[in-house]
Order: sequence, then C-alpha cells, then structure tokens
Amino acid sequence: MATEPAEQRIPEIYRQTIGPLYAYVSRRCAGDRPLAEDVVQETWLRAVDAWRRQGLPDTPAAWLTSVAHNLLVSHYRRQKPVPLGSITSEAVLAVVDDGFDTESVEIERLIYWGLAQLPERQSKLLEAFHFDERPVARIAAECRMSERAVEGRLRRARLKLRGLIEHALAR
Amino acid sequence: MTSMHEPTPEFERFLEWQVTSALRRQDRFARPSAIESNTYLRAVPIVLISILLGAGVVMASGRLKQNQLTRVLTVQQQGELQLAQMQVEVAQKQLAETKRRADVGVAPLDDLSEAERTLQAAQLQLQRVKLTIEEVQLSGRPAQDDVTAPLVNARDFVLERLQLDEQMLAASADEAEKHLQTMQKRFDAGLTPNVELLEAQAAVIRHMSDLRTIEGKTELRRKFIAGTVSAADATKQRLLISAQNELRSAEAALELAQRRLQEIGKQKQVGMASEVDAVKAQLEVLSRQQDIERLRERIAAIQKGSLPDGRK
Repeated sequence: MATEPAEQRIPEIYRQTIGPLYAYVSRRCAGDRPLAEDVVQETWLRAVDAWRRQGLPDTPAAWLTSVAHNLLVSHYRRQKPVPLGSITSEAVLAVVDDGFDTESVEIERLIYWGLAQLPERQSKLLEAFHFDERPVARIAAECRMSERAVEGRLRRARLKLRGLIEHALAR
Repeated sequence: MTSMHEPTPEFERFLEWQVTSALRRQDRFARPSAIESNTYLRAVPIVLISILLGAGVVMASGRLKQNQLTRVLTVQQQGELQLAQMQVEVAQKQLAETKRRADVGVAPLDDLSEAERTLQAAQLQLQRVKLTIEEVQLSGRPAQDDVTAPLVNARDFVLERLQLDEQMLAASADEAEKHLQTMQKRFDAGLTPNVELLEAQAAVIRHMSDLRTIEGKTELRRKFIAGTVSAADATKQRLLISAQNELRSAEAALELAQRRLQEIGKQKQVGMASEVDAVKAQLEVLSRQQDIERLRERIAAIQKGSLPDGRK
C-alpha cells in the first residue's frame, strides 16, 4: 500500500482511471449502459471506502479493474442464460470457437454469463486474450508461464466455456 | 458524441461528485464506513423489508429500491408542498386585508409593502418546493443543493433553486435598504439613537453578504457545469465565498456591538444603564471579535487547502 494520504490522491486517480475503467466494464456489459454505470459506480464507492481505511493500493487501476470484474461475475452468476430468440445454438458456439467476435447482444450476454460460471483463473485468462486483446507472449510474461502453456490453458478454458454454454442451451 | 464504451459526461461528473462528497463526508464526520450517501442510508429500511418479504438479493433490486425511495421522498415533499401552498394562501388573504385597510386609511403603506413582500416570499418558496419534487421524481434521490451536484436529465435544478434564492434575498435586501433610509431620516431628525441606525446598516450589510454568497455560488455552479472548474476546486471556492461573506457580516456586527458598548457607557454615567448592561455589551463585543478571529482562521485554512475544521 502507498503511504501518501488517500484522500489527497483519490480525486486525481478518479480522473485518470474513469475512462479506462468504464471501457473495461462496458466491453463486458453487452451494450447495457445502466449495468455498466452501476458497476463502475459501485466499484468507486467501494474504492473510496477501502482506500480511506487501508490506504491506496500500489496499483489503483488494477484494484479497480479487479473489483469491477468481481462485481460483473457476481452479477452474471445470478442471471439465467438469456433467451436467444431467432439465434441458433450453433451460431453461439461458433462465436465461442472463433474468439467471441459477434454483433449480437444476446450472444455476448450468453458468453458473459458463461465466463462468470468459469473459475476466476480461466475467465480472466479468456478476458485478457479476447477482450483486452493482450498477446499470448505478454500474458505468458505476466503469468510467468511459457507461451505454449498459456495457449494450452486458453484452449482448455474455451472448451470448458463451450461446454457450459452448450449445456445451458440444451436445457 | 459519447461512444458506447465511454462514460457520458453527466455520469462522469455525477460519480466524481459522489466520490468527492463521500470523501468530504468522511473527513467531516470521521465515520470510517460513511461512504453510503443519504440515499443509501434512507434505502436501508426499504432493503431490509424487501429481504424479509423474500424479494431476493439480486443486483437488479437496486432499481426496485430506487422506485420505492422515490415514492417515500415524494410523499415527504408533498407535505412540504401543502404547507407552502397554505402559506401562499395565508399571504394572499393577508395582502387583501391590508389593501382594504390601507384604502380606508387604517393601515400604513409600509404594512402594504410588507404584505406584498410576504406574498412574494411565499410564492418563491412554493416554486422551490415544486422544483425539489420534480428533481426527486426525475432522479429518484433526495434533492441536492451542492454546487457540484450532477445535472438531472440535463436539467440544472441546483441553478434553478439558486436563482429563486437570489430573488428572495434580493427582496430582503431591498427591504433592509428601505428600512435603513427610514432610520437615516429619523436619525437626522433626532428621533432615533445612533445605535438603531447602526443596526439598520448592519442588517443591510448582512443581507448584501447573503446575496453575494448566492451570486458567488451561482457563478461557481455555472463554471462547474461548463467544466471549467473541478468538483474539489468548486467546493473550496464555495467554502471561501461563504466564509468571506460571513466575515463581512461579522465585522459589521462587531462595529455595531462596539457602538452599543459606547452608548451604554454614556448611559451608565448618567444612571440610565446598569453594570450588568455594560458587562453584557462588553461580552457581545468579545464574542463578535472571536467570531471574526475564527472566520479569519477558517479563510486562511481554506486558502491553504486544509479542511474547514482545521484538519489537513
């Protein structure tokens, strides 16, 4: 934890991080702006409370992102998989296989729901690669693993996500 | 235009205000877990009832809470609205009665103008309550009068209320000026002592200071909304404006207290005032001097960037 009084730096940190934090959350909200705003707001209120009591974390942006991630996971875990309407389950699984790139809000929400059901390590890995577009080499360096190991974990996480979504669609 | 993954300026400012005010509240009240706004505190009983009724703890329940909170707040405001409407009705009847009496020469013209001002004040107060109700209904939370409060559906309720307050204070200042003119004439004619004239002068200064405070807040509000001043700076400037205007009023009050002390000293010499009267007048002077000292310290602390209560 940094030693500088938190209250002096919080407004400045807010201004520096609000844009990236909102973008991080918004990309995981499938166009649901009220949800993105609720999550960002809750994240910041928790930050003010925690930072005032415990001091600033060494990397406030990472702290904020982590809390926002947990809030999103909690939210999606409480949701039921959204009905797909006219979209086929094959189309959904194809999106999962092809790197989550889709224009469909319904499919996006289903993927977020699936990610929230995964163990945190797997969901964070998939998010880092697919949403934050961090290259395997960078993830490998951050996680102190070989690139090959990261690729293997990504593949297994995708398979698990696919299985979860397939199971949900079959119900 | 805001892109999909960017916060809207309104949301960004609202959250900045929430963060700043949470920090300020914690500083002010030294409550370690005081990050909840009044909105949250008021929502607590509603949340508990919802849980007991099995409403379930889901994130979406936030919106349910909000609706219930809005209803509770609106009911509270309806009570204030009825009171304000009654005050307008009473003021209207009072004015009609005073006019009737003035027409037959029973009531002086001063009474008539006072009844008109009372009616104007009641009407402005009614408008203020109506604005508050509109804000509660649109925002779903208690009305906020801080200069750093966010817009509500692109509408600036803070500024609208400040403008009403300005009208009310301008009317009071006019009234104080008229009273001062009357007292000046009476003093010139030897009909009133110097102290009463000073009292009237102090009242004018007090009203003008209040008016200047509101004008300062209005200007700050405009700057904050235009984005030319940050929430932290706006709060600092608001505190400074209030303290400087309080200081002006306190200086006028000190001058008045000193004159009163001199008068009582003269009266005491000729047996028209007691020792107790003299001590009271002296205490009044000391008390005003302390007020000024405290306000000067407060201004210095705000200028240095410390909190108003002296903590860094």
